Amino acid sequence: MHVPGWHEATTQLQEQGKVQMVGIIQEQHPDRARLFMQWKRMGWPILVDSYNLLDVSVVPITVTIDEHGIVRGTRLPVRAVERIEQDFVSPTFVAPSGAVAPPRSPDPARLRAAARQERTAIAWRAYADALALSSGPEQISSVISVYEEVVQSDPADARGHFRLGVAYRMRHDSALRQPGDFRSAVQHWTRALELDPNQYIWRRRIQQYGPRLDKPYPFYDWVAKARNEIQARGEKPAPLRVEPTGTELALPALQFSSADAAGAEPDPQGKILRDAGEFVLTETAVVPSTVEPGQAVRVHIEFRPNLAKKAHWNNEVDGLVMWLSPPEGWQVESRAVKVANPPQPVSQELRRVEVEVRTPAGASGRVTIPAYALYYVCEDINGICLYRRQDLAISVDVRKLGR
Amino acid sequence: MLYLQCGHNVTDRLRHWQGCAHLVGKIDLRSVMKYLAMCILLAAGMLTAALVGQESRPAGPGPVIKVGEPFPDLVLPSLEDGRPVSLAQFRGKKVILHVFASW
Repeated sequence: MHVPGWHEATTQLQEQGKVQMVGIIQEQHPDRARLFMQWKRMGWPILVDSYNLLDVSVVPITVTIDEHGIVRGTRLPVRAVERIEQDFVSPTFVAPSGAVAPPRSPDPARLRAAARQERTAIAWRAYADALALSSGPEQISSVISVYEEVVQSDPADARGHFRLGVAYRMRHDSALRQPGDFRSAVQHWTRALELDPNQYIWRRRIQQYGPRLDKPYPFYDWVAKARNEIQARGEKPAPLRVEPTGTELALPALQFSSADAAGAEPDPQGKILRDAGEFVLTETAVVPSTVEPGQAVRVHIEFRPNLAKKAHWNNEVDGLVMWLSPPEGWQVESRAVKVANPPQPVSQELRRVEVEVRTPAGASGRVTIPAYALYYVCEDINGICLYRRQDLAISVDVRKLGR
Repeated sequence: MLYLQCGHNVTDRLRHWQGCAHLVGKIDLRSVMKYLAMCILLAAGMLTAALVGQESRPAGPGPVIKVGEPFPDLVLPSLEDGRPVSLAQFRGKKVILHVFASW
């Protein structure tokens, strides 16, 4: 985040050659930080720590490191800027008596051998961390399988759960995505936070995709403004591989609308023929995966035309409609959710629906919210277009977390 | 402190809420106060966390940023091109490291 005063002061120090600014970002989507840096003209080296390997539990943190590699302060920015010249820039620090060994990249092969021999969560985690750092995006499934070893060896390894969730979400956002990846990410993040509820970075990762009531503010509402201002400067905004979706832009305040205000149910008797995933593949994730009675969850449902069937959306008719039938006492943001068609007559894009559900105070156990989607879809193998219904079961796990 | 820990200026946020009043109904003073209280709690909590450092963290090995000690041996990918970078390459210079997120 941009901190007025702090940013200007430190930029000046860097321009005067007195310090080297370096950033480490703690975000799932690092290219969003790149856009932010471009917007705020913060032109220093940035390192990416989506997995939270640095193990910090809060942001922002400013660390001053002297010319010998020794940490001299870990202050919050405002305090740092008031005293940074006096405390850090002006003094000459004495070199430590022993030599400071230069950091080295971990050796995945050596750590793999150690993990296979020791078979402890800590050894598996060291190997998984090294693999996560050294491997390319095409090896994300290997990273997932090694972090799975961590949490199987020790189901209470909070760091293992968080990092496994990061890897699942990375694969979800890649061409290698597997059904259930996002749901797995949320489950492991939720477990990690249960184990260490004071880890603010982990908490924010769930909030990023979670209910609006849980958010202190929208996460990425600055993106549109940043792009406009960058374009107005005559620059091209840095591209984002994954655009922020509804939940990441959502306002913190939310009033649940009356469940009866959504109009008539579109297929109350279930007469529309079913698509059991033949034409459109669906994936559902509930954030967080476990919720206390009376709290809200955010339900994400993704719809993808089945490319194996050469399926695509038919946009010359109505867009996709999803209908939810919450059980007695449950509240939904809206029972009917619509996705508008793009302007072209046919398309194959991913369609997302997000809707919030509030559990009643007396709820407990795993509760299923019946839902279904109606859509127009065509397939190019037999050249037919269809109107289909797909039934969905949204499963919410309600239990007291005992904090 | 409020500004930092809540990520955005509180008054901007309140203005934002007012701008969205037509969406959320009448501004609920209690929810505004709740938000402010949450910010203060967050600020206090994170100040405490920053001051106590790693002491309240779960057991197990992990990098520890401690005054008077070398910065942890950690090599991370560069945002620019994914190349591994360690802070050791800036040895000889005074470094101000900012650990942050754009949210």
